[in-house]
Amino acid sequence: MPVTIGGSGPITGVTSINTSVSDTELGYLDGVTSALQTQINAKADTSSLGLSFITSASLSGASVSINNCFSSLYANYLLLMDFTLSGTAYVYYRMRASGSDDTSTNYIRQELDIGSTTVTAARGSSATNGFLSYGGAYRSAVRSTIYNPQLALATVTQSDTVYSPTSPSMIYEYGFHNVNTAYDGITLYPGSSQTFSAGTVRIYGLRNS
Amino acid sequence: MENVIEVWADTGEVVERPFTPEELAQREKDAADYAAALAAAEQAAAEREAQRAALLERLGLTADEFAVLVGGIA
Repeated sequence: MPVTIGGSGPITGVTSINTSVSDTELGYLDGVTSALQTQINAKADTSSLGLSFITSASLSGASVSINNCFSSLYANYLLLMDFTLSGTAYVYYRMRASGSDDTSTNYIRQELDIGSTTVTAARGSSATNGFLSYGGAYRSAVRSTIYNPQLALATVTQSDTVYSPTSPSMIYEYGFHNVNTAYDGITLYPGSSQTFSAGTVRIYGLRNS
Repeated sequence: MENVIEVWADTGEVVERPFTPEELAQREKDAADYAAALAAAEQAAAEREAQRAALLERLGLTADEFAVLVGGIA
């Protein structure tokens, strides 16, 4: 039933203004400070963004495994990790499927290490793990692109690390996991019996198109 | 402190647990492999340095002089 109200002030004793808007729905207007449609139109369309956050994990202990982070939703992934170790060590990775690490001798890598004017390189093959990064008892950070982990193809990794804040250095670890198997996860761990003291790893999916 | 952190991206579950016997055996093997590779790399580097020093002595150059000669920084 239409209600006519004169003057100003709170409306009381009215259960609805018309037949299609309820009191509860009217309550949703609480806090609105400007035109709703204008706000909706201005909101970014996140469905077209190229990068989608998948998961993150705090780093501690000797090993961090992330399950079900790779799926058919994305072909390629971005891994960002900043970390501190208990002591100087490489950080390795192993591809993971259904909760188990792949320790077969199918990891190969090429390394480029640059500190001041010294450049060294190394290559490894038939390894049971891949090289992701390098660090120590100081803050380091690595950005790694992981290609096609979830497809039955060789997984490719490109990892760039900056380490040692007192004498900044960088290390590039590019590698293959040369086995045509699909993986849904990854394990990260420092070598040389070191552990993660602090840090965070974040994994993002890169849109295919 | 627990040794392993396991995270499930799809559910957000986080578990801290000790190594399984299989994981522990793999970790010990990793450590042994790393120690062997490190020893081999250090031996190779020492041999290369010895060859370099012998060559410089034969040429009658110091390391600094050689660096200047090839355009590098000592």
